[in-house]
Amino acid sequence: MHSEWVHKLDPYSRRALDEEDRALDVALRVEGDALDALKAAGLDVHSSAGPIVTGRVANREALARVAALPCVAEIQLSRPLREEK
Amino acid sequence: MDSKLDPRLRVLLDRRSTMTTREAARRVRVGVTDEDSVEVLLRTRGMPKGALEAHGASVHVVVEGAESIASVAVPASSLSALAGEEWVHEIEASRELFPELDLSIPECHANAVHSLAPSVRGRGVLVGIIDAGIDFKHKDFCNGDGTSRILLLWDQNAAAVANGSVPFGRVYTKADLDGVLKNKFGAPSVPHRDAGAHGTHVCGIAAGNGRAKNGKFVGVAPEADLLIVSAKGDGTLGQSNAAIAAYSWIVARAAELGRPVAINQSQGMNGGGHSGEAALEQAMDNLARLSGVVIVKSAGNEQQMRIHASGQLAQGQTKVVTFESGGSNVTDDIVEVWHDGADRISIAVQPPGAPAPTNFIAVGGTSKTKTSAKNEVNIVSTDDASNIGDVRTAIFISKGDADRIQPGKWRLHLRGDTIHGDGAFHAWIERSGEPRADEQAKFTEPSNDATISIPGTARRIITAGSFITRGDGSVGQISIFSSRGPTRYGLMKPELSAPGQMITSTRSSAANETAVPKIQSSYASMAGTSMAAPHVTGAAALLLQVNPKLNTTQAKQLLMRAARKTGFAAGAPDNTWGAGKLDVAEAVRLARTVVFPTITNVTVTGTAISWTTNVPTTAAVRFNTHQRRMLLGRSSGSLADLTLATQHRLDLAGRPPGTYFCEVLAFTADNWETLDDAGGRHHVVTV
Repeated sequence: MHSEWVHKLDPYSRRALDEEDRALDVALRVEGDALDALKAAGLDVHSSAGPIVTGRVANREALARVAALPCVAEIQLSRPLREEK
Repeated sequence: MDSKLDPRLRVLLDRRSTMTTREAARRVRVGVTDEDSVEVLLRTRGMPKGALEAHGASVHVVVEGAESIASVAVPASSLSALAGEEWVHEIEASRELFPELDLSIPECHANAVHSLAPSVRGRGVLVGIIDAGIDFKHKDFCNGDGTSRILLLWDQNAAAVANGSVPFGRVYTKADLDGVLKNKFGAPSVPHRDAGAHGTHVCGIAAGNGRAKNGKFVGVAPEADLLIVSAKGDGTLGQSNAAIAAYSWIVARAAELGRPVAINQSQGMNGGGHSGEAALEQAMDNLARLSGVVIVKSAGNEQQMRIHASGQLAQGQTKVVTFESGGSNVTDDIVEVWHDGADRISIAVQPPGAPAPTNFIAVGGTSKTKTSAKNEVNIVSTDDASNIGDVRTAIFISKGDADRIQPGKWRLHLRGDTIHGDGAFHAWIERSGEPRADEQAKFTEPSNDATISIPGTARRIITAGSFITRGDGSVGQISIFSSRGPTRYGLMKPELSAPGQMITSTRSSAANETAVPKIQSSYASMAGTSMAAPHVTGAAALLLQVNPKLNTTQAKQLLMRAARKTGFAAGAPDNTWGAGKLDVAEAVRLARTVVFPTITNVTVTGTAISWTTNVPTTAAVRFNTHQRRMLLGRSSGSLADLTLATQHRLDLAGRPPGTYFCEVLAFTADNWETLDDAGGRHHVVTV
């Protein structure tokens, strides 16, 4: 049911495809100068550190557009970090 | 003469006949500084110069008066003789009310550099804290004039303002905070609070100045200025994405200010490959390359949490890995299984009481099934996960149509369909956290190794374990909770260990009194590697004061070389202690003198790499035909040249044909190291 870009998704973002459609905070590993293409595909860019770009996509459709970009190597869903006390 | 000794010291001396000084001291709650020395206070009059030292004592401070008070560490074997001196009126075991009794700072020798002339207290350096919040009104984060030491506070959970400088939340400036602190008319309100108190406590360890109690509880870098990010999340949670944004923001602001920065994060998660491949870890590693940036992360508290299991499969063999679910009705139980892509391992799940497992899911496959108890089991397998050539299979167990996940033993069946690698696999259970910490799923046959929490497995950063200076367990021993390495790719973690158990530091006034009891009204005790990491972060800030150009890798070398391998840490370096116990004074001493080699003119000619160094060095090239693995520190081979010289050439001729991604290493005669991997692009050699 999904296209070949699905292999770029980590298990958490891949699972999100089958859940209720919602905005997703994601981290991307990109190749080359990708920011303009990412924005055009619907990523609200929050930060970039070298090849790692973070941001939010509004829904599954935008996630698919972003994932399909050749400059995108991997997408990881944002996940909880817990304090270590 | 023993009548001059307080009762606890007398009991301690009595018990030394049957146990070590350290153990006797622990039992009567007397501080110790090494195997035989105890922390005491002397009431004295007319003490001759050098008299304490003659008894083998190490003097911390003497408060002069008609009757002087001396804080010293003295060998237990000298106590009776010391008590016999006429100028000694009384010897008392040190207590919590005395300035030096916050044990962790003297333990890691930070006070020794605070009192140097000129002092090394973090002046000119920034400490960045990424945590759940801060009590910015706490006096320890204010200057003597009552203004804030916090230059910028990014509250990622705050309502955004129009045309804000950040993608979410809002930034409060020092002027905003000063306005509140000084009750300035018209100053904007700053509604930020730290209800959980974790961030406030962490920040106090790294950089509190002790002003709330006249210097009784001073952090490691008390004169550093602060950049604070209150991480987006819910209470005790942060979010990995927001953490990436936080790191980028702190580094950018430090660059604008033209100042070096030491950044602390005391948060983590278990799900992932534990090889540094997570996006957050990659981002941290990228920033850790920069001059003037040092990144420190807590190792995690997972050593005894039964969250890791591992094994090895032969071709056609099936193994069962069992975990016990706590039966959550809130969050999923999530297990991740990782193995080399050369092996094809299928996985099936058998719920409690089920006669057989579900269908096996092959590499790259997915499935979603309902159990007889109406729980949902979702398996998602990813080939070449994160492009590192490994297979990642995540198993999500949710309550589905039931009211909770079925508690009991769940079995993962792993079948070696094709084994062309070593057949090894690792599995981790994701942390459940609050409010269901007591429902954390656990393996029945765990391995305590490889329990470092992510992002602590990032290659370039400094990961800190915890040892005991107070609280349960033997003083000086590693904390029972402190996560152990190595990474899945075999890199040693943690890098070193620091005090992390029952540490007294700044308490947020917004904290619940029952959950976070007050000590001296403005302080509280907490335990965890969360508390160990900021000791190291503060130490890094002091190193950056001495040498503002250091990057994380260089600071790491200094801290590891300086680490003490004494007492329980005698076996270091290892994957429990790292290099040993934090020694701030020694690291600062090294930072003043060390010259790290610089590598220039790296050239690839045919199958050979050549380069130049500024000082005579020995040389090595590490390589892998898989670039992403090389980036994470997993080499498939190496070459070395042990001749000290400033020009080197190493040739990969004779290797199997292929494209080799190489990193070049230079080692001075004193073994200080520099690594050049062309900024992560690697030097590429085709054979």
